[in-house]
Amino acid sequence: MTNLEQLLQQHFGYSTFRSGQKEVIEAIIENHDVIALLPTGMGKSLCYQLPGYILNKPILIISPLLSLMQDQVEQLKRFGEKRVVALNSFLQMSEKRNVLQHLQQYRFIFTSPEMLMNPQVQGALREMQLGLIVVDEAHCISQWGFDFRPDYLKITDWLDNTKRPPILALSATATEQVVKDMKNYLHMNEPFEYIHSVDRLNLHYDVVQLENAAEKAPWIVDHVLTTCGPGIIYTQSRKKTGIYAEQLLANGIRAAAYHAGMEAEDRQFIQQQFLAGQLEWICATNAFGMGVHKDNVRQIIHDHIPSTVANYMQEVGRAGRDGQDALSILLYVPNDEDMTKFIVTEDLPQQRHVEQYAAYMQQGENPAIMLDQHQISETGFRVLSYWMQSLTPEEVQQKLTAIRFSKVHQVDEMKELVTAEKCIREQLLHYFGQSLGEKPAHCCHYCGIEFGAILKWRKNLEVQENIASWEDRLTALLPNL
Amino acid sequence: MYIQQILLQIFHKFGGERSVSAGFHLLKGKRSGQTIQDVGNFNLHSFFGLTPKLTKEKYMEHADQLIELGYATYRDEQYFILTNTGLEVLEKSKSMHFNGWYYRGNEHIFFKRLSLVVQSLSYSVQETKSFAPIQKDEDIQLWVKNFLVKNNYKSDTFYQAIRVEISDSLNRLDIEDSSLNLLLYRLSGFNTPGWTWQQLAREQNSSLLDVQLAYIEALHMWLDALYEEPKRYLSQLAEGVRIEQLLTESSQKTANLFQQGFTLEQIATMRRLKESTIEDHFVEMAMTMPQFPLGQFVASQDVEVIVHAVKQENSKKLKVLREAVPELSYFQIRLILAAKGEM
Repeated sequence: MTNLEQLLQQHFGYSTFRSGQKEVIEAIIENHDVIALLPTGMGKSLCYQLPGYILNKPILIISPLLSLMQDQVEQLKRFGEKRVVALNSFLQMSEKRNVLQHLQQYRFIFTSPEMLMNPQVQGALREMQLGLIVVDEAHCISQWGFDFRPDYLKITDWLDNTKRPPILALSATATEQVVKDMKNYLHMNEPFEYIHSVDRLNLHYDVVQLENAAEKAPWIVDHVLTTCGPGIIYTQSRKKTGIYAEQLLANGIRAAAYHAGMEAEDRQFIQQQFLAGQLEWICATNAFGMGVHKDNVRQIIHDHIPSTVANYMQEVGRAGRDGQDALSILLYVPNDEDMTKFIVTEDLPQQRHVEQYAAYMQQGENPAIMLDQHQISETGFRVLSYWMQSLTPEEVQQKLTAIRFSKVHQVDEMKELVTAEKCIREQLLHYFGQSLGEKPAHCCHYCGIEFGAILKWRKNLEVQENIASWEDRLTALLPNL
Repeated sequence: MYIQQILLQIFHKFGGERSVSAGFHLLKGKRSGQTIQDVGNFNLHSFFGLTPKLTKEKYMEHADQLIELGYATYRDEQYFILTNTGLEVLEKSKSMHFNGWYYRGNEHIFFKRLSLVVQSLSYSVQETKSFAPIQKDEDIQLWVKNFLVKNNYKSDTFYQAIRVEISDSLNRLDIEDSSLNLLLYRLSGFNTPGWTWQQLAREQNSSLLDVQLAYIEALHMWLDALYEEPKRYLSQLAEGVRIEQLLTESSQKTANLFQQGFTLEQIATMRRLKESTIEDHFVEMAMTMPQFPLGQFVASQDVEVIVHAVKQENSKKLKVLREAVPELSYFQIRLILAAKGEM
């Protein structure tokens, strides 16, 4: 058998595998289906990147987010791989035709669930020989997962299950229920499971209880002024990202807001500034984080109850990737969970939507009119039309009630994590069906935590960068030879 | 305050004859007969399509502010006219150099190309081959790739030449340094991330919209300069950015048929469009084509009559002019106004 370490060195320049990678790759080579749950930053992508150089047949990677896909394509290109393509809606018609004709020549083919619904794409894929099918962010397949994508349920519809290549389902976090759903919906065949402990010993979990919401901003400013970053403040509204950033800036902290409503270029600038250490704090909605590879984030602050424990895990998991201690603080004011419950159920279709949809269908009209008339959100419509295609309106109603109940329940689980008089680490592990090994000092809010043991106290404010003259800026970009 | 000054200028030129929303359509660059005609009649080429993403609410906010500040008042409920204070403010403000009519948002294509070229060179001079391109648009990526390869980008001569071209051409612009800063800080390179609009507005103590407008003005001036005095490399980046084809697509079709000798009525039948629509096209043609044969539609003395009436009545309102010169049709009056532009 090929020496995996040699290939790793040759193609990616690493000398050793991180835990889990080798086991997963070996199972793939032996033609097993695999479920791999590896925490963010543990090199999930390598689990399919390396097999690309062993299997000698194209690898199909299904990825739910365009930005994520873009990020992974760029990563492979940086490693010098040219035979990589992203088959997505950005491709022009002529380009698409060209790519589809030469599909077999690529080593890595990235695509989205939507693209896989396209008959042309399905046809091209059916005619070729794939080495491996990768389902990235596979938790999206589960309606109990934290961002259910109906399209995900159909991604293997085009496959002939008797002669398909192995499937690799990847995710950072998934509960036992979600893993079960992955196996079912992807029709996996006694998969090899590699489940890494979700515990991150260098992360410390604090909860700070406040009397009322108005205390949050002053608390954050005071905390940021006395401790060192870099850090991320997660909040629920775009508007608040701006408010926090402005308050920190006014206090001499190098901070910036980040949310999905900003121009794409501006978002990249913020990421680059954060990476380069020019920004110390990012005030963001949950849009920030995907594809941001910064190792030395020391703090994560939540000013709200995240919608699920898995979401919380993913967000705090962006701290301490370098293995050094990092602190997560959640600010809690009684009944904060109500706001989160409102947000998570807001987009769900209501009974009247189901009725409307059914009425349009009956009249032979396209229910998408509801979207045009802004009667329903896009997410809501996506979920609704998926269920309406396979169930009766009554069943859909029941389904939606169940989903609503589940979403609210998941917020309650998160609230429980925060308010229960129990070790947070233990609860987190329990949530993912794992049990606690060792417990670090300053483990969490319940076990006792001292900021000074984890963070550095701030001695002075770092100087804000002033704007240089345009000539100097040009020289910084393009130095005189 | 750029937006304020732009609005004052627009309402001043409208002279109380067009509604408040006409200014909105102008800034958005609406491709309708009416807006295009406004551009010609009131000589508002420079502001056409400056802010395609502006919302009506934001626009109204800025317009209302003029009233609050006492720079403008309403006439007949929907028309804006400048007050004496407004006129004074406008006279004192520095001149603006937008050229919206010729760029129509394409200035961003130029800048996207430039930004990817600068980023590529910035990394390659540090011998770092791979980077995440700041421009995600694949057309731009492909264009820049071809440009770099064609111009032998690894050579020191090319690198130096681009540097010098940027610095020389910017130095020659009659523009404030703060505007040039905006251009340079929207670029990014090795260890040198760009700044967001928010950051730039904060730094310049200005609003988001105003820094973006200052940036667009700087781009227009830069592009104008590159067309007047071409540079070997930068002018390549500006290729195809200036609109040479000023007619809307539909008007162009009408113009082609007209050039082949068909009459207005024939064109309407052939294209299955209303005659009034074809009339709009002719007005657009009269406005943009210097060689438009106005004489085929109106006698030369009629032109003089209208020019005189505009002065006499101090108005370009069709209704007013029609009453003053009842022997001419609305269409004829519109053609004359369009062809004569500012009178």
